[in-house]
Amino acid sequence: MTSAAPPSRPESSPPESWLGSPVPTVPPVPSRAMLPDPANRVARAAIWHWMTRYGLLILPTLILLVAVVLLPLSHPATVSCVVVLVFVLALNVAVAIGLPYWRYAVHRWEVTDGFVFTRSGAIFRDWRIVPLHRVQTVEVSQGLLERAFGVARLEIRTASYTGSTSILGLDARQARLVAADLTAALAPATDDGA
Amino acid sequence: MPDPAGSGPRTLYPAWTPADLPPFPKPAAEEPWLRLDPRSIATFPFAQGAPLLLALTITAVAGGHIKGLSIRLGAEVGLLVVLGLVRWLRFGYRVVDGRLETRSGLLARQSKAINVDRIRGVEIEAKLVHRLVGVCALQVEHPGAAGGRHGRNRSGRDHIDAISRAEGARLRAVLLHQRATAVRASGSAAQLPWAPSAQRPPAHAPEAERPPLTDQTLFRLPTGWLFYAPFSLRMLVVGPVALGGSIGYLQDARIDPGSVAASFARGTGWLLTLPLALVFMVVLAVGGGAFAYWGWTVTARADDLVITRGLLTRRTTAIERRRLRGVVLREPLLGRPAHAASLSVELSGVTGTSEAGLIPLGPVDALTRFGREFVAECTVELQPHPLGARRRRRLRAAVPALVLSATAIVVLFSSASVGIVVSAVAVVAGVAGQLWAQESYRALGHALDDRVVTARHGVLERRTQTVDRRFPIGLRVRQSLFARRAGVATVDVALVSRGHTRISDMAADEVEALSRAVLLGATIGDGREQPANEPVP
Repeated sequence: MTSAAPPSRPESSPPESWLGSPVPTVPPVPSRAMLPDPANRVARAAIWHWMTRYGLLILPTLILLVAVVLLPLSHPATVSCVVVLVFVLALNVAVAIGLPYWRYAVHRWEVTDGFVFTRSGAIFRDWRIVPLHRVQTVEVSQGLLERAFGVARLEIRTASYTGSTSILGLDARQARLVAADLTAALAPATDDGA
Repeated sequence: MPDPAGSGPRTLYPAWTPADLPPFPKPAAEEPWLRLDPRSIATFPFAQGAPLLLALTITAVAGGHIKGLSIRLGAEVGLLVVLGLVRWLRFGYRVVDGRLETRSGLLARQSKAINVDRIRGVEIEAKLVHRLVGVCALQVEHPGAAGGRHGRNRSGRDHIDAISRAEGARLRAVLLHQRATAVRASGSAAQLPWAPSAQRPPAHAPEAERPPLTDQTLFRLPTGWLFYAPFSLRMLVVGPVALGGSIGYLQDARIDPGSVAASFARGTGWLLTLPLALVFMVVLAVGGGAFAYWGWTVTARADDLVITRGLLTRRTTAIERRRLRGVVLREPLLGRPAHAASLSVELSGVTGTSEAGLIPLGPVDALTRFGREFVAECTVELQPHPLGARRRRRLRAAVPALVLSATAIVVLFSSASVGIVVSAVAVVAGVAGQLWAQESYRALGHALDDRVVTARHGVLERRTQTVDRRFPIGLRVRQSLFARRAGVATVDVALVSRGHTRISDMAADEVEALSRAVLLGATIGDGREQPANEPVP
C-alpha cells in the first residue's frame, strides 16, 4: 500500500474520525478515488490477446449470418433474422474492439514490501489486497492464446478464496520473475496458514 | 508510487517495458524435471477431473450417428490414450530450493511452486487401477490449493498422478524430510531482494487467551429455551418436511393424509383450521428442537471445546479452541419480537469445519454474553451505513412491484377483474418490498476496534459476525457502477480460510481507512499509521 495520500484530499476540513462520531454533516468529498490506484499496468500485448479472444466469439454469429443470407430469401422471417444478426454482430465487434482497451485501463497491479494489490473489473470493480506473509502458492499459467501473445496469468493464492488474487495479461517474463521472487520470499508457514 | 524518503512501503516492480526486463535467471545447475511413470497413461482415464467420463460424453454426443460399436469404442480408447500420452509428455515435477515445482500442459501451460514448509501432509493414494498397474498417486496437501479460483480444487490437495511406488515413497520421504528441516530452521526466511525487513507476525498461531481448563462445563442449555425453537426458520420447516416424508408411510397404512386433513377441516370449520395448523407446526418445531438439542452442553476439555447434545442419540462435536476466531450471532426475522437468536463460532484452518454451532437457541442477551467468553466484544458501537445503501435497497425492492404494476396496466385492458387482482398484488409487493428494504438497511452496520471487526447484515436472518482481526488473510473491495454512483462499496475481509466477513455497502470514503486499519493494524482516525503490531500470544 502506498503511503502517499492522494493529493486531492481537501485541507479545509480535517478528516473526521468515523469511529464514535455521529453521521457527518459535512457534505462528502465528490469524485475522489476510493482507493489509490495500483501503480503498474498489465502488458500492452494483453489488449491484442483480449481482442483476439473476443473476436473469436464473433465467429458463431458470423457463420449464422452467412448461413441465413445464403438461404433463399423467400421466407418472410429471413429479413428480420438478418437484421437482428447484423445488430448482434455489430455489438460483438464493438465489444471486441472497445472492451480490451477498457480492461487494459482498469486492470492494474502492484507489489509493495508487504502486500499484493490488484484492481480488475470494468463494470464491477474488484480490488484485492493480499498480505505477502499470507501467500501460500504462486502460480503462472498461460493458455494457448496467451502464449501466442506472450502474456500470462499470475495467481497468488492464500488459504482463503476471498484473500486470493490473480493478475491477467501480465508479460510472461515479468510474471515468472514476480512468481519466483514471491515464492522465494514466502514467510515460514504458521501451522494452519490461516 | 515510490516514496522519495524511502522510509515507507515502496512499490516494487515499477512500470517496466518488456525491453527493460532482465532475462529470466537460470539456476546454475538446473535440476532436471522428472517425468511421470509411463504406466500413468493407463491410469489417466481415472485421474482427477474424470477424463473417462468426459471422453465417454464427447463420443456419445459427437459419434451418435457413427454406426458400429467397435469404431466408437476405438475412438474413445484412442482419445484417452492420446490425452494420457500428452499428459505423460508434458507433466514435470521436481524438488529444488525447498520447493516442489510442477509444470504441465500442452496448449495451456501451467507452472506451480509449493514451498515445502507449506505442505501439511503427503499421502500416497493407490486406487484399484493404480494397484493393478503397479503405480501410485501422490497427494500433497497444502493451504494454497483450497484458495484457488472458483473453488476449483476443493479438496485442498494437489496430485502427482501417477508415479511408480518406489518413486512415490522416495518423493514422499524427500518432501517430509525437507519440511521437517525447513520448519526447524524457520527463523531465516529469504527476503525480497529490494525490501527492508518487513514486519512479520510471529510464526505460530495464537492460542486461547485463558489457560486451558480441564473438563469444565461452560454452558448447559436450559430446557425452557427449547421454546425459542418456533422462531427459528429451520425448526419451523422441520414439521412440514417431516410430515411430507411420512406421507409415504401413511399411504402404506391406507391413510390418505389429504382426505383426513380435509375432513378434519370440514368438521372443525376453516376458520379454526388455520390457527390449529399453526399450533401444530409450533408443537412440531418445539418437538424437533427437543429431539435435536436436548441437553446441549458445552464443555472445555484440555485444548478443545466439546459440544454434546441429542435426546435419543448423543452427538459429540469437538472444536480446537485455538482455531476459534470469531462468533456469529443469528437473529431470525420471526424471533425479533422475542429476541431469539443462535450462536455459532467461526474457525480458522483449511481442513475441518469452518463454522460450528455453539448455542442453537436462546435469548440474544445471554448468547452475546456467552460469546464474549471466546471473542472479545467490539468496544465500538456498530456504525450505520450511508443512506446510499438504503436508496439501493429501496430501488432493488421496487423492481418487482414496478414489473407487477406494468403487468397490471397491460392486463386491465383485457380483463378488469384480473387486472384489479394483479394491481392489488403489485401494491402489496411494493409496500412489503419497501418495508423489507428499510429493515435491510437498518440491519447494516460495522465497527472496528484494535482486536475485532464486527459486521452485521441480513433481514430474514440478521447475522452479526465478530471476528478477531489481528491476522488478516486478505481483503476484497467490490463496487459496481451503481454502487459507485451511490457512494458505497462492499468490503469482504478474509480472516478465516473459509468464509469472509462481509461489510455490505459501506461508505466509499471510508474504505481506504478501513483497509489500512485491517491490513496494517492501524487504529482508524489517528492519522499516523502504526506498523503491524501483532501481539505475541
